[in-house]
Amino acid sequence: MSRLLRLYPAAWRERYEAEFIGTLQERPVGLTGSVDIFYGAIDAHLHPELIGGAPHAWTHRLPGLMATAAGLIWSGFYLRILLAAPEEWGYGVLIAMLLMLFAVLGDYINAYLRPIALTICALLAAALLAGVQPLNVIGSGMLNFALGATASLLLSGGMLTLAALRAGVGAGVRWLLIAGGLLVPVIVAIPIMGGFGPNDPGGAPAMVVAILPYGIAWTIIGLRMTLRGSVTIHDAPITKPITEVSAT
Amino acid sequence: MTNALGELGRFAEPALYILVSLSDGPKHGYAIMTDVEAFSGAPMGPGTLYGALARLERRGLIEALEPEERRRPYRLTALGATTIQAQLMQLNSFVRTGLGRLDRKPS
Repeated sequence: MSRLLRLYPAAWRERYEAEFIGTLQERPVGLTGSVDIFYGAIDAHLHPELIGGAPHAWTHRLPGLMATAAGLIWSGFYLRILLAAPEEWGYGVLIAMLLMLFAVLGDYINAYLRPIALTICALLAAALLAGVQPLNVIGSGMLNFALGATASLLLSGGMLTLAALRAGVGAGVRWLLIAGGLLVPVIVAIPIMGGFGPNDPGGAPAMVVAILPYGIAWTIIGLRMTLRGSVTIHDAPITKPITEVSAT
Repeated sequence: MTNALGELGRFAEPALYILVSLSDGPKHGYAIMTDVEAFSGAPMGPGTLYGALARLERRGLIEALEPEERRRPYRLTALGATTIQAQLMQLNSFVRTGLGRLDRKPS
């Protein structure tokens, strides 16, 4: 049950985890108590000021909300393909990718206001355009496909990695999300996109299964970003003595 | 309800229970949960307990004492004692008013 405490922010755990575990050892909780702890973790993320952190303005939640929306739009779009098998891609993926870009951009700007953040995002925007253009100007065939796939992979992987870092997930979970949300599905997707798999409407489910996890990964990361807010370099874990915290 | 507790939103009622529980001396988390359940009849979840404790501590209504192994007792501050006293007097007045009106109600 004490695993649920990992859902709490680090500063909160530093202050309350030991006694919280002590309380749980004396009084184990059931399902209702677990739900109560889960709500408590969300509350702790939404109110960092309770343990001496700076309260988050709504703008610090915005990048996370955009990332969540991007994940949901992406997932919804591919689920729609699975259900309706439309022939055209529409704007769903483009909107989702722009939201992902803005989420990462907004989070870095919120957190650092550093030129490097703008540089990274400018490079990502350039990669977004480059990922589309070679498909049209270089010609057709395997080179075209390889360039487009590589640019897409770098762009998608880069943005997902940046978002996961900003969401503050641990290294293990981060790699799980990146591998499960992108790398493994792409390995599955490459032969399908290269024409080695079924291209008829019956092939859509395989395509969806390969790409849908990316949207799910973004949704998970987006929710985490929303709860965490845009963490700045000034938001170090609270290490003040308890008496000092009490006095504030 | 006084502003000190009223502004705690959904944590106002748990906070009131905790302050009442600490009125007769310091208690740690488990003791507070047991005590609250005994006098209110409703269990208090640990997430709610620590959410309310953090808010009360932040507002200076309670303070943490030195931990005893994994138990950390809390006690009322002077401000906390004043606040809970005012809160209970207000509730008492409210209860007396309500009961008085029921007594005067024509049958």
